[in-house]
Amino acid sequence: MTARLVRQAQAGDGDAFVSLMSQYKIDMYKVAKGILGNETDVADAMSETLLLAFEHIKDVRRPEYFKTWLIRVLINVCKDMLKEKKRCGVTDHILDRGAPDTAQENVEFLELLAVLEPKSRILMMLYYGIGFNSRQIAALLGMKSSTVRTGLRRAREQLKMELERQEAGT
Amino acid sequence: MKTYTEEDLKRILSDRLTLPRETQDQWARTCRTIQESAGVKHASEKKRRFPAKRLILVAALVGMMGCAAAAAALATDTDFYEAAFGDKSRSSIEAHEVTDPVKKTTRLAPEKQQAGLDTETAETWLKDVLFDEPVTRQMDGYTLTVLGGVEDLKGQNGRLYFSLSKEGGFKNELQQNYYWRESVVPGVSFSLMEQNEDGTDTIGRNIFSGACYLDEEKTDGDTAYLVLTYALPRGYETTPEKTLCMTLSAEEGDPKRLLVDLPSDLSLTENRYFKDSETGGGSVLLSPIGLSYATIAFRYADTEKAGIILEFNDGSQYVVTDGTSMNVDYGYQSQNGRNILCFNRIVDPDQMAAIRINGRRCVLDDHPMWDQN
Repeated sequence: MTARLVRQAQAGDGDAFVSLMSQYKIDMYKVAKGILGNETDVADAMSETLLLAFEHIKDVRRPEYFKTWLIRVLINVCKDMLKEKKRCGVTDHILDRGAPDTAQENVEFLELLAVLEPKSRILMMLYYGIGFNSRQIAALLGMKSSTVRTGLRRAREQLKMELERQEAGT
Repeated sequence: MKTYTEEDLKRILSDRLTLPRETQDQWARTCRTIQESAGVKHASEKKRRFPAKRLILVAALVGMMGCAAAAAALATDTDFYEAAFGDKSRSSIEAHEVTDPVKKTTRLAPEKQQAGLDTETAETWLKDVLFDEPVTRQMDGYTLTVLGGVEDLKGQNGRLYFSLSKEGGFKNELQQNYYWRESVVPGVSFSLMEQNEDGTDTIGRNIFSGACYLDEEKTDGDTAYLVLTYALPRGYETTPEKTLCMTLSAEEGDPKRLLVDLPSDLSLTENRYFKDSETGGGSVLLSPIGLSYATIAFRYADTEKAGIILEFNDGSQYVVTDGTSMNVDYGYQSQNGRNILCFNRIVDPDQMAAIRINGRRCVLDDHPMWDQN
């Protein structure tokens, strides 16, 4: 199904492309949210990624790796947005906890993100949320797979310490 | 105290979410823009559908996306086949005297004959040799992109294909027909390391013995395309995770190292066992990209019979090496007494009639019940 949609989209079929992208919409949201935090930025990053993916989908050589390719494009868009914000003096990584009408299924997700450090968020999201292994994450983020494994271990430790700190503070 | 177990983390982060309304609306608007623009036949009209500002932003983003995505278009499987096993990437070489730039010793290099690429055999045996996700790293103006590779793990040899570009270009620095990995790109050397299993970032042991050469067909003044042809010492043939290490020599201080973790799923070739038909005492492990055999089983007394020749069913031959020629990309004698030879062309093991090693004829053994080592 996915492979067929990729091939149709590569042939210029806009409807097939939109159907294809709708499969990954939630994953894209999670990754962008993990990196950017702010809802407005997340929406912008997803839109830019849509446009870039449509422009460059012909570069995808194997449809089975479309998801990896797409997430890479998204991560690069998010990184560029962070760089631009930093250049303009805007503090990045501020996590938007969502509007008061945030859907109930999102609450637990946002609570967890709130206690994770920015660097940990993206690792946890790619590993637990998207299901990539350490090697795939390493390729996506441009780091060694051993660094990813170490980062994940530290993220879990940091999460535990943060929860203990919050507990002690209450 | 609230805690998160592994199961909690997986459940919470992988559960389906509901997109916030504004995010959903913006997504829908972008999708409509794309669907409308896809319906326009001409590229010029299509571009006008996007606001000029958006086009500039897209172009800028593509430029900043990093080399990895762009690198995907740099090479094809055929480029790899040609670079590693063809005759367009490098020329045949007559016998000549060469000087090792590191050891400063000289030796007579025998002639080396390249053969035209057998694309069909390459396709049959070496499918999907390029990585879907080329790995790119940068350091001090150099950009290294690992494009693909193939390994014969049982036979303990492999090939790696990568590109190296340099800010300002290489001018005339690149050395053709050099086969030491320290001298193809002056000031730059390459090695293959074993990754540490304990998750630390300190570099592991060097597991690489081999050679390096330029793909002369694709290389230009800005980007060098290189092939590493290597042998794995005994014991490392099952090491799945390897790191390519590029070392930049420094005029002052320690050399700098750029590390690239290689995907563990390098394309693997199959092997065929050939057995000494006269004595049954020696076996040869053959793959499309190289062979290995125990030297002690094929020692020779008559130097006129020295050499390795592959005989094909159609009567043709591939003289791998004899007294005057060395038609391989690399030869290595392992510490446990096995010779490993990396072919400079692709061969079809299913079309082999026999292998002659130092005058001894080896034929295919359909039932290899012994340990080939």
